Order: sequence, then C-alpha cells, then structure tokens
Amino acid sequence: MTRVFTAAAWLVLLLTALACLAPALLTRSSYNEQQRDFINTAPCARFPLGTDDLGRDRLARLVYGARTSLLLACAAALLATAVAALAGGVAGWLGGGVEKAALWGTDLFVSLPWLFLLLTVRALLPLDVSPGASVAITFLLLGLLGWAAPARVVRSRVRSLATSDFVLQARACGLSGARVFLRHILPNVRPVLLAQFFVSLPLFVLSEANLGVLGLGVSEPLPSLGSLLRELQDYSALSSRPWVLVPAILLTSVVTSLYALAGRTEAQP
Amino acid sequence: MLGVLARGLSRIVLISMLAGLIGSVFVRLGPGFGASTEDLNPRLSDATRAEIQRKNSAGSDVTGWYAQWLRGLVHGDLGSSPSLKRPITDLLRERAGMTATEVAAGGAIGVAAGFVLAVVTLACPRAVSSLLCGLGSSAALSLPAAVIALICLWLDANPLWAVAAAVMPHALHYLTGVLSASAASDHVLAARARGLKRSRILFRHVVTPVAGELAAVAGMAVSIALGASIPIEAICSRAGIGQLVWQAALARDLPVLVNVTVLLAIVTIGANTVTDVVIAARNPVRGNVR
Repeated sequence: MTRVFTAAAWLVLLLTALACLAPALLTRSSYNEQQRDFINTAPCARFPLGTDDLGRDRLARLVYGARTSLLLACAAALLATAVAALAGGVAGWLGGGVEKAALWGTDLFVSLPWLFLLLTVRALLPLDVSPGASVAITFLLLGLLGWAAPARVVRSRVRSLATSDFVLQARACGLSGARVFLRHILPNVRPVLLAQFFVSLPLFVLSEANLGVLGLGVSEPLPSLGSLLRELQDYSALSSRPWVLVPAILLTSVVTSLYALAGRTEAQP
Repeated sequence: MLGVLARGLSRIVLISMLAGLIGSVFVRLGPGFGASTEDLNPRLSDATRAEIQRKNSAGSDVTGWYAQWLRGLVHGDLGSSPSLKRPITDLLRERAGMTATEVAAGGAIGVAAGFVLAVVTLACPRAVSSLLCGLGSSAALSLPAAVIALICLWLDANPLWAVAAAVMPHALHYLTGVLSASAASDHVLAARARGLKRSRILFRHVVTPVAGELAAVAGMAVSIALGASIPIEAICSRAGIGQLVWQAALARDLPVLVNVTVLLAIVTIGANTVTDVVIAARNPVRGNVR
C-alpha cells in the first residue's frame, strides 16, 4: 500500500512539474489574455476548464499558477533551509551564549502561529506592489520566517555530532574548529537539511495558498494556486460551475504527494 | 513540578517582552510610519502640516515607544487602533471570547477526533475504516485553513468545525505515532504472550499508559487552532481576534498587531507551560528532562 501511495505521489509531482516546466504542452493561451467574447464560459474543446469573469483561460491560469506556487515554495524552502543551517549550525557548534540566544529566538518564532507571523510582517510592507514584487515579497517572507523549526532540528544534530567520537578525534589531531565544522560536521548534517527542505515544501505551498485566499499573496494578474482559490468565495455558484474546484483538487493532490515524500525522506536514516 | 512551572512563567514573561520589543521595532521601521492622509490636504498651511508631522513622529525612538507601551501595559492601557479608532483593550476584550470559544471547542473536538481515529487505525490497520481515516486526514492536512473555512460556509456549519478539521490531522499524526510506539513495547508483547484479549490489550495496555500524551497534543493544538482561526474568522466574518488580525494587516494597523503578537505569545507559551506541568505531574522524570 505504501509503495502504491509513494508511486502515485511521484506521478502527481512529475506530471505537475512537467506541466509547470512546459506549459505549452497543455495550453497555448496566456494566463493574462482576456477574451471578451468568452466570459464565464463552460468547459469546451477550446477552453478545457472554461474561462473566468474576465474571459481568461482557466487552464492556462491553473498551469501558470501551479508553476508560480511550486517554484515559490521551492525557492522559499531553499532559503529557509539555508538560514536554518546557518543559525542552527552555528548555535550547535559554538554552544554557550550563542546557543541560548538562538534558542530564545527560535522559541519566539515557534511560539507564534505561522500564519499570524506572515500576516504581521506582510502588513509592514507595501500592499500595493507590482505582481513581480509581490512574488519576491511572498518568497522572502516564507523563507525568512520559516527557518526557526528546522534550525532547532539542525542545532540538535550538530550538537550531537560535536560531541561524537570522530569529531573528538579530529580535534585531537589538531584540526582547526572551522575545518572540523566544514569537513566533518556539515556533510553529516546534509540528510537532516534535505529532510527539512522536503518538510518545508508542503507547508510553504499551503501558506502561500492561505495568503492568496486572504488577498495578501501574489498580486493579479499573475496567478498562483492561492489566488485561484479566491474564486471559491463565491460558493453559491459552485453547483453551477463545479470546475472552479479544480485548483483546490490540484492543490490537495500536490500537497498530499509532497507530505508523502517528505515522510519518506524523514524516515530514511 | 514547581521548577517546571517557574521556568514556564519566566519564559512567558521574557518571550512576551521580547515579542513586544521586536514588534515595537517593526512599528518604528515599517514604511509609512508617521505618515498621515492629512499630509495631502491642500487646505493645510505649511506650518500646520509641519506641526502634524512633528506630532506624528513624536517618540520615534524605539526605546521611548517601548517604555511607553510597557507603562501602558502595566495600567491596562494598550493604546488605540489608528484604523478602527478605538482603544485596543476594548477591541481585544470584545473579541477574545469568541476566539477563545472557537479555539477551545474546535481544538478539543479536533484532538478527540484525532484520538478516536488513531485508536481505530491501530485496532484495525487493514480495514477500510482505517484507509478512510488516512485519506480524510490527508485531505484535511493538505487543504489550507481558508479553504476549510469556505467548505464550512458552503455546508452552513459552525466555524469551530473548521478549527477542529484543521487540528484533527495533526493530532491524528502525533497520536498514531505515540500509540504505535506503545503497542510495540515489551509489556504489550508480554500481555499478548499471556493470551489477553485484543480489546483488553488495546485499552488497558496500549491506550491507557499514553493518555497523558493528550496533554502534549492539547498544547500543540492551541497553536494550530489559533493560526487556523485567522483565515477562518476572516472568511466566515466572525468578530474574533483572527478577523481583527486580518483587518489590522490590511489596514497596516501596527499597534494592534504588536499587542496581538504579545497576546498570542502569552497564550501559546502558557498552553505549552500547562502541558509541561501536567506531564511533569504525571511523570516527574520526563517532566524534569523537558
């Protein structure tokens, strides 16, 4: 059962990645092309998922929106993991006051609900920004606020490595602290960092979706999975236009697949 | 246990003060601090405009503002909301009840449902019911809280069910791990070897010893439920703290955000401290280790 589930997860992710990397395979429309003669049309051969209230092809917006969200989540997870490696690594290696200060910092970040932190920091930044800037802001926010929990894991791993026999031996051989850290500690922390990267991915996709639904994510006309979900707010029209649910279904499939793969990565020794 | 309580209380005080300080720094450094729509009023003379700007930027040093905020905090005065034009204390007092009810009831339902589903999954791991539990919790885990709120609106259900749906998969995931570890322990193997009934082993030797872990889940649930309450209250138009946060974020109402930051830090760390105390009371060795 687990194998079937993992295979399905890989299939969903590969298909989504393919669609994102080569959108022309699925659609020839642009996500921003407004066809005034085709407003709110039902699915047809030309528009497989119909069009929205501005006459834009829903399929094109879905494909480009998935690309924005997934690339954004990957970039943010990479940034968060890098910050976590730096903060957790330095705290675990140096110990003492630096470690205590880092733990206080992570305590503060972890104790506040994640979405609240995102909203608060987003409120400090300009709200009326260009679509490109909104992507950059969302990516930076997710990356710079998502480091705390992974940093604790990294610190714990570095701490245990710092007191291990091979590190003691390396020190006894006269290697400098920086060399021991770079040559012997960091390579052993890599699996932890990889696991944290995969664990962060679904979390960041969901966070972007939450911000998008609340109107604080990626700005129009650039689509993202979160901004596409805003259409669900007109829930009275769901029964007559069930195809607007497709972004939610895609989001659920992708996040479930990411969680499944993150679980496997974490379980690996 | 007293040591755990004292450590927890000192953590609450220090981290909330730190949250207040960081929030104050953000307020001061946030773009647009001190700006006013009156600056654009052509009817105002240069002298009047300069006077308004002087007033708006008064106390612009962080330490001064922070000291003033602390003094107000001691007297129960949290300042005033620039966007809603009302005292922040009144806003928090009016809205705290609704959010507290949603978080407590929704969190409790979510934890209880997670616990029941974890027991079902452990009791019959290959049954269809377990598969459905897994699929249901995966779907709930993979949906943003905002979409869960929309589904709740669509079904005309109380928003606390949305909070419960956001908490349940996390509780299920954690409790499944705890129960599986308990089921694999030596005393359970011994009980099986003695030929005890499956149901007796499950409830007496697997579930009962880990009942204290529910306290740990409760601490975790408070944070998840608080986070989920923001989009849920915003979408379901519930006048709670979550909706206040959303409105403050849209209106860049930074004083409200600073005070809510401190409030949420106190509530979350308080919940974790209560959890630690309960665990220390049940198991002094583990409590001290934590």
